[in-house]
Amino acid sequence: MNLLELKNITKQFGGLTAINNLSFEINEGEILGLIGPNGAGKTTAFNMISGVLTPTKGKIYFKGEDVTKLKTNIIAQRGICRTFQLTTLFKSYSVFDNVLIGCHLSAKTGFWGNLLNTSGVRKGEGKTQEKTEEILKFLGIEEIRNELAKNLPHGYQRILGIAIALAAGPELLLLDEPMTGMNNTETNDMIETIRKIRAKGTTILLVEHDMKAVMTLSDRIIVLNNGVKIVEGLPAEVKDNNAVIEAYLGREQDFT
Amino acid sequence: MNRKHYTKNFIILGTIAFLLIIPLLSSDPYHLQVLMVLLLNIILAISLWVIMTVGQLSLAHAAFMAVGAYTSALLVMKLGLPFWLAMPASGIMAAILALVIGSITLRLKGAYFLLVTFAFGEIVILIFSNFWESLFGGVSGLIGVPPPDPISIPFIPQVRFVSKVPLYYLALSLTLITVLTIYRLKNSRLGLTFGALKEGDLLAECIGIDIMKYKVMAFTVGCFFAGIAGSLYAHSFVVVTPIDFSFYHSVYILIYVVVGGESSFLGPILGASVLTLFSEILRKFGHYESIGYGIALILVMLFLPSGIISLLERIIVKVQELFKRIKG
Repeated sequence: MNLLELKNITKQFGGLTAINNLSFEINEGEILGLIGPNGAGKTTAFNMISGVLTPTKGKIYFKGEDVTKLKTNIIAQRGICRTFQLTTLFKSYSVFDNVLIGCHLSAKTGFWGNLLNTSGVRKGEGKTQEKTEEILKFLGIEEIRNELAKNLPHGYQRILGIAIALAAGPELLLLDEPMTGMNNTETNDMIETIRKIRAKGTTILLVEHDMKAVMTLSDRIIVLNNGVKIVEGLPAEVKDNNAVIEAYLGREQDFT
Repeated sequence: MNRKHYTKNFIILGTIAFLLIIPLLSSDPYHLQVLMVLLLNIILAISLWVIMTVGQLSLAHAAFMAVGAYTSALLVMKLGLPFWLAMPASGIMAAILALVIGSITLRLKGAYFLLVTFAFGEIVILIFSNFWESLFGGVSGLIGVPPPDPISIPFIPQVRFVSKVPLYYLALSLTLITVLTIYRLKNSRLGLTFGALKEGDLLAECIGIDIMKYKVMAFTVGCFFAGIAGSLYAHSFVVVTPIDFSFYHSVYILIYVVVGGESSFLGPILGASVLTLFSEILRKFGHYESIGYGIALILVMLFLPSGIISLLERIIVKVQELFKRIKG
């Protein structure tokens, strides 16, 4: 069954067509890789799925429901969460608090309850703290729980970004270049982490430039170029596809 | 509980105890008057701080105070309502107005929201000084706002608000209620959510936080207490004129928060206290007052960019080290 479906999505910024008539599906439980050269429209697609941008044309369905025009926070409520290409965190908060903020959707946030600190609110807060602990442990960052997010090394910051998104309890997790700026060991750790998240039943859409990582992780891969889907298939198929090689390296010219 | 908490609690309790016995130490009405202004400024600074925790700056805080002041004064003077009803009503009036204005304008960020609140503040003052003169009293405002009605508390004689002393205790109680309420809010889940909006509202949105809802909530809470401060002001100082709530007053409130230390709960309280006393001392020098004030501000910004509170924190650390050395 498909979890997310994009139907004939077009996005124009003024006269520029960033995405042209894009359709694809994400099946429940899979890791779908979305690749393409810079400017191919990957992040635009991401922003539309997560509700940051609204498509000019076309529809997006999540679990069969139309979510095209929903606001970002409502989409998060429905079960789609994302991370960001540029590390985006609640910088002056501790790692623990970052994840705790991420638990917003399952927390008690009523005004009077919080003001009067009712037993319901206290119980709820106890639960979100437990959940936070679980996520920290799951991602192996419980030891840095008291560090401020802004003081963390880059690799940990990327993991914390994922931890915040996981705290919201998504069914579909959108990862925007999680391996950016990582060395080999860090990349391998990240691959393991993403596998673990999938093993827990979370479906993942992965945008990534690190080809090795995308090829090892993805069940299927979609290649975008100039806002158009040029290939869709298994990693092995995509790797040797001429259109893909052309998109990345350019066409071989015959000068004779 | 570590020692830092002990020291902090000691300082806070000591301050409250000191504020409680001040009328016993000095019955000089001038001293009490200054302290009442100081307490009012604390309410205004800490309530503006609530708005600032979601990452918005408002230059309409004095205008919301004006709304509270006029609401309260008019309810008592024209409708004969007791002060004890008019005061909460003035807070609610300011809160409702904030809810409406905030729902429309809090989408704007940074300088844009600042300018909108500036314009709103000016409009409020213009309305009070130029429209419905028979009601608002025009530029000269409302004169002869009655003091709060006497209250009877069991076991002690009836409290009449005829001298400065009971008015001072009223101001102190309202200040403590405000500070405690906001402290509770800050330490609750909501405080965390408010702070998240300031840090990154796109990320907040992506984890399902309805950012408008919480921005409007913070703005409404902040303005509610500004309204309460307005009511307290009107009934303590008898006269309410539009010019009391001008844009300059809003800027001063903002300065209290920034100079005190925006990142800490105690910062705005400290800022309001220190700067109120400081400007009272400078008053003797007449025209030179604002020059001295300006120089002091520049010095604080230069040498204590995270506010006076950071100086206090450093002193506390030093004192603790000293204690340790004495013990060792």
